[in-house]
Amino acid sequence: MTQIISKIKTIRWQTVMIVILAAMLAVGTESCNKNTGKLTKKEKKAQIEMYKKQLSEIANGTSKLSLQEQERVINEAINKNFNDPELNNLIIQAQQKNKAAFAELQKQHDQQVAVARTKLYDLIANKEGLSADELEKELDVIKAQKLNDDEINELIGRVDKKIADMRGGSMGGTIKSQLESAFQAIADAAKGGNVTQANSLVQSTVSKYFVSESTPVLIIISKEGSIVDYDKPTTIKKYLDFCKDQKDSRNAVDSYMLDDSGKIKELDLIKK
Amino acid sequence: MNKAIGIIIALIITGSGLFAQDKGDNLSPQRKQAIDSLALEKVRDLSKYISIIGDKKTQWSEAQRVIERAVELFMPGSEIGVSSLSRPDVTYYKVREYFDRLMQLNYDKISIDWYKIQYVSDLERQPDGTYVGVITVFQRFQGFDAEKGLVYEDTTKKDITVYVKRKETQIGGKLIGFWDVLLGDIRVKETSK
Repeated sequence: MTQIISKIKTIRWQTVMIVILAAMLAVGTESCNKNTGKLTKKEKKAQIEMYKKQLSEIANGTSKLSLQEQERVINEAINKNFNDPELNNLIIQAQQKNKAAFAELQKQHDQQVAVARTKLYDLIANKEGLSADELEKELDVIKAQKLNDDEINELIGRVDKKIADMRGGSMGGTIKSQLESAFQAIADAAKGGNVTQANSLVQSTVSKYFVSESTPVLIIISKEGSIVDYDKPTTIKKYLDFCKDQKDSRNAVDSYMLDDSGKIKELDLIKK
Repeated sequence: MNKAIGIIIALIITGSGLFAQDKGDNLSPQRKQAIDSLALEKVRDLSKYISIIGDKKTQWSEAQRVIERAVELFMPGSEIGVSSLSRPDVTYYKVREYFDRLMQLNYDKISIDWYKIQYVSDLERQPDGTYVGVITVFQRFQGFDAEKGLVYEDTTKKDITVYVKRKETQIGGKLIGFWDVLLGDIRVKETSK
C-alpha cells in the first residue's frame, strides 16, 4: 500500500491535465465540424478541383464512368453550388455531352429493338423451317441483348411457346389435330379421285412433321389394362399411302415422340 | 411361414398367367375381338388394292407400288384362284403373278367389288400359337369394252385362309408385341353369272 501511494505521488499531475485538455479540444473541434457540415477553404478547393477533373473528362468524352454515374456527378456538382465560374462552365459542357450520349444510347437501343422485333417475327413465322434447337439458338442471341422492352419480351414469350410446341410440350394436341387433319385430307383427296393432290399431301406431311419417310408407326388395336396389342409396325410413308389407297383415315393419333429438332421420330395411332 | 409360401406361389401363378396372356396364349374376349376385326380389315384392304390394280386409270408406277403393298399381305408362296364362266376349271397363280395379270386384263375398263366379307371359320389357336381362320368373300367382276360396253361379268365366292400370329420387334429400343396377320391361299368356291 505504501508503495502505491509513493507511485501516485511521483506522477506529474500538471502534464496529465494538459494532455487531457488537448484531447478534449481536438474531439470538440471534430464534432463541431461534423455538425455544421461546413468545409474548410482547403477542402472546398480540393472538391472543386475534383469535380473539374471529372466534369472535364465527361465533357471531352474520356470519362470511364457510366452515363448514369456521369449524370450523378453532374448533379452533385450542381447541388454543391460552389459558385465557381470555370466549374459552372464545365457543368454545362458535361450536361450537353451527357444528354447527347443518352440520346445516342436511346437511338442504338431503338435500333436494336427494331432489329430484334423483325427477327422475332421471322422466328415465329419460321419460314426457313428451323428446328426447335436452331430457333432456340437464335432466340438466345436476342435474349442476351437484355433489351428490356415490353413488346420484345412478349415476342420472346411467343417464340419460347413455339419452341415448346415443336418439342411436344404444352400444345401437343395441336400436332395431334394437325396430323389427323392431314390423314383425312389425304383420304379425301384420293376419294375425290385427285391422286396427284393426295401424293402431294403425303410428301408435305412427311417433310413437315416427320424425321423421315421411314419413321416408325405403331397402330394400337386393343388396350386392356397394361396390355397393348398392335397391328404390324409400318412406316409413315406407307401409312399415308395406306390412307390414300383405302380412301379412309381410320386411326387417331394416340401419342408421338419428337426428336431434338422437333420432328416426330415415332408415332402411335389407335383405332377410332 | 406357410402363409408366406402361399403368397409367393400365388404371385408366381398370377405372374405367369399375365405373361401367358400378354403372349396371346389366353386371349380375353375383347382382345380376341380385336384380332378378329384386324384380320377382316386386312381382307377389306386387299379388296381396295385389287380395285386399284385392276383400274385402267391407275398409273403403272402407282399400280406397282400398290402391288407391293398387296403382296405384303400374303404368306410367301400363297396362291390365288382364277375362274371363268367359259371354263370349268380354276387356275391358281402365285400372288404376284395374279396381280400382274390383273393389271394387264384385256378390257378397257374393269370393275371389281368385294362384298359379304365374313368369317366362315373363326380364328382358332393352333398348337404353334398361330390363330387360323377362313374368311369368305363374294367378288363381282365386270369387264367393259370401249365400244360394246359390258362384255363380261361374274360373281365368285372365294375363301381366304387367314393366319394371325403374335410376334415381337424392337422399335426405338423398346420391345413391341404385335399381331401379324397374313393371308394364305384364296380358293375359288363357286362362280356364277
